[in-house]
Amino acid sequence: MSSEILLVSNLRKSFNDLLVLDSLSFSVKEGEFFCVLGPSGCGKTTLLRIIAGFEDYEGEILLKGEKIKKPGSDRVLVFQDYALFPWRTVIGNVLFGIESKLPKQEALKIAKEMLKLVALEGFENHYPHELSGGMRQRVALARALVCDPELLLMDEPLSALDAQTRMEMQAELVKIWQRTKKTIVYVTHSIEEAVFLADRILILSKRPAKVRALLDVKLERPRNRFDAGFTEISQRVYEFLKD
Amino acid sequence: MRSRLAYTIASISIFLLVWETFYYLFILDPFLLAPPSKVIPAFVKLISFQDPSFKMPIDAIFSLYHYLLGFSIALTLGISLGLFMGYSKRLENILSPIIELIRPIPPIAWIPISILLLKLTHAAAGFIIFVGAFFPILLNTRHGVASVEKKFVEVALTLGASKLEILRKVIIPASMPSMFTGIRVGSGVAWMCVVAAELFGVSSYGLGYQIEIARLYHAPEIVISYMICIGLIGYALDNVYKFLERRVLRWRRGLVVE
Amino acid sequence: MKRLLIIILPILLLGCVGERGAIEEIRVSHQPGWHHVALFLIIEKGWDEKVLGKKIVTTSFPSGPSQMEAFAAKQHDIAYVGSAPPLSIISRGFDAKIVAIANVEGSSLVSIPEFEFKSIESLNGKRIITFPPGSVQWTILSSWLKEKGIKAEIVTAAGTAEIREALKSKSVDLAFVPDPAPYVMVQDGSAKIVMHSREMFQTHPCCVVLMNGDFVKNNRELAVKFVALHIIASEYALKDENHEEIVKILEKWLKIEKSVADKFPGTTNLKTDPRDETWLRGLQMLCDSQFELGVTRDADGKAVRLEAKNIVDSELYSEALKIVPQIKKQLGLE
Repeated sequence: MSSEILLVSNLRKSFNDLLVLDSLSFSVKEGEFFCVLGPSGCGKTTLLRIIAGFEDYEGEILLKGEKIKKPGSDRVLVFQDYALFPWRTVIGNVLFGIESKLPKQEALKIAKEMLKLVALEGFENHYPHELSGGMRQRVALARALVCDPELLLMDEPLSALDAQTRMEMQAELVKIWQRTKKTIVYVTHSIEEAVFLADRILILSKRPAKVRALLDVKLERPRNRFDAGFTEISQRVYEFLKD
Repeated sequence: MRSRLAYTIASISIFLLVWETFYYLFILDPFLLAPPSKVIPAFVKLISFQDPSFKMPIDAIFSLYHYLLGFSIALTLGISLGLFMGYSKRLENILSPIIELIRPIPPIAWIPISILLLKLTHAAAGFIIFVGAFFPILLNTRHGVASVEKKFVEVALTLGASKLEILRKVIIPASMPSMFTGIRVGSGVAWMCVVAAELFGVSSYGLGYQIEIARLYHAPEIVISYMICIGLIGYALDNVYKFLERRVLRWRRGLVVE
Repeated sequence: MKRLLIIILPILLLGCVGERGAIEEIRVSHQPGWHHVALFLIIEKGWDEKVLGKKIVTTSFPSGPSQMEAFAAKQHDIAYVGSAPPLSIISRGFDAKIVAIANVEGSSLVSIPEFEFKSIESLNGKRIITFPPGSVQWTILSSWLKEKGIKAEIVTAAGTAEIREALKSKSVDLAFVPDPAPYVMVQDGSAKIVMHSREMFQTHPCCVVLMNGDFVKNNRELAVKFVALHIIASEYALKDENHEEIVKILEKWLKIEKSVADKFPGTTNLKTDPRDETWLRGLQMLCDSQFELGVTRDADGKAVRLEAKNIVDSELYSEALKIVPQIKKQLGLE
């Protein structure tokens, strides 16, 4: 039984007078693929930013027993538009988190390996604007992974891609997750994506967001979207969402 | 590339022709203006040390010396202050009113104070050039820093960067395009101030000073030759910065229209 | 119609800077120094209207070179100016002649009070300020320093006001200026006199009366009469019995204090005859200096050497001398 790495208790968040998150409580297990699903504007991104340490909050969030206060590389957030540094090459971007913490040769080795992992070998000296959307996403992923974070936070990272690339990337993401055994908290508004990726899905209501449900997705990987079991779970998720 | 050269040659030739014709048609007064047919031989003589009293290359060196004196300080001060002001809201609030009050004062108006404080030295000339270059550099740097997208800072934070690292690895590279704009504009203004500064007899050399002398010698062809020299050097300087910009900002090539 | 205007307009404009025929007033330019006292006298005593039948209007310039710029633009008919500034416009082809001397000598080298002048070599490495290049002071100073082998830095300023400032603020060590400036500066304690210009260059030419060639051509009678008035005024100014009167005139025209004006004539020597051989030699030396310094150039920009004899109109002076007695009678002087 894997331990709980992230514990959220009675999380509330307001922007001025607007209540966005209303008493959220849940936990994330170590090594699991945890999806947060909800309608647009419900506060999913805010939740992720709070966990990342960018917003203050009421309530309690514990990462491995420690209170979360400031941003840090133990919980790396992968932004929606990847936010790659345009003035650095691919390898430069990936090196960013580790170049000051490790000797140069070692950092370079790790970075190169990570690029191999995300299948971008050979693109080290390209600039971000020379890459396609899918490739950029992979660079952002590599950049986050080299920091060896406890938690990988991903904010709808595939929503900007076309359907086909999206499906390819989802499969890639699962592969990488299996290889690195990271704990991922993944925000999305796509039911299909959540069911394909997640071990468990946290379903949130409209703003102010409350926990609607927390579903286990007990499907074998690699998952098939057109499978009966897949469709059944998707239906259940949909039922929770639409209320 | 070849057609650009052809355009340049054609454009300059037409200009010279118009100038020559204008002089012989309307001016015909050797005290008022000189035609290209007199200016170009004079220019050649001046640049090759063949003139008895004007040594243009030496004047150019002195002017560049004044320029470098003032510009290097403007660069250092402008960029560092710009970085701090863009970064710290408090510093910005304290310094901004003073800067906004001083900025509109034209560099030329500083000449009396400059002479009073620094006497008639090279430093006095350099000071005027400093004033001219400082504000564009400061303001563009500050603007560059203030416009750094928050998401880049947040990315750096989530990747575990310290405040100093963020300054070094995010803020400065992200604001470089604006800094370069400030540098080019500031350099242009600074070079224009060279004439104004040197007009006040800071030393017996300098392109600006010699323009005044040539005027007193009633030699418009020398005046115009010096003007051309000033223009050429200004053009060359700008190209140096353009070249540097293109190399440092290699990463922008695919991103901007340019 | 528009095309016609485009062609005609410039020609009309050219015509405006053309020649003057019959005139109502005589335009004279000068500088604020008492080398030009003759001019002030002529106007103050009303001799212009009495003898010439015209009013003289004056413009003051801080120094010669800028004065000559205006003269070359045909803004004045007569100029009281140093003998050096006209050389560069005459060499360029402007038609003007020296018709009389205004004075010789009359400038001094002054220094800040702390300066120790032991010998000429004390000037090595010092900074001396004077009038702009092309002026008498600048020419004399430059060639004298060159001749003596002294390496000093010459800085120039547009006029005495700036020179006084520079000396007061000690931005320079010495200044070479014409009367009354040396006395004004000694008065306010910012300077002491080091040597007089006549020690550098005895009977050196200083100011002259310059006349526009066209003016002489079209108004010869007036020109001759003016020179005669100049001769009379110069004589008058030097008479002891007229000293008080002159002091008052100088106070008014130069805006100086009585104690300074009282020092008139200082080292200024009011000669008038341009036929004087010594003076002509001095003038030729100025021409030579300006040639060597590259100041006098022809219309193509090449340095040329002027001949003193060619720029002086001694005939006009001889004519003027002849009518001096009758003009004196007309004015009621002896």
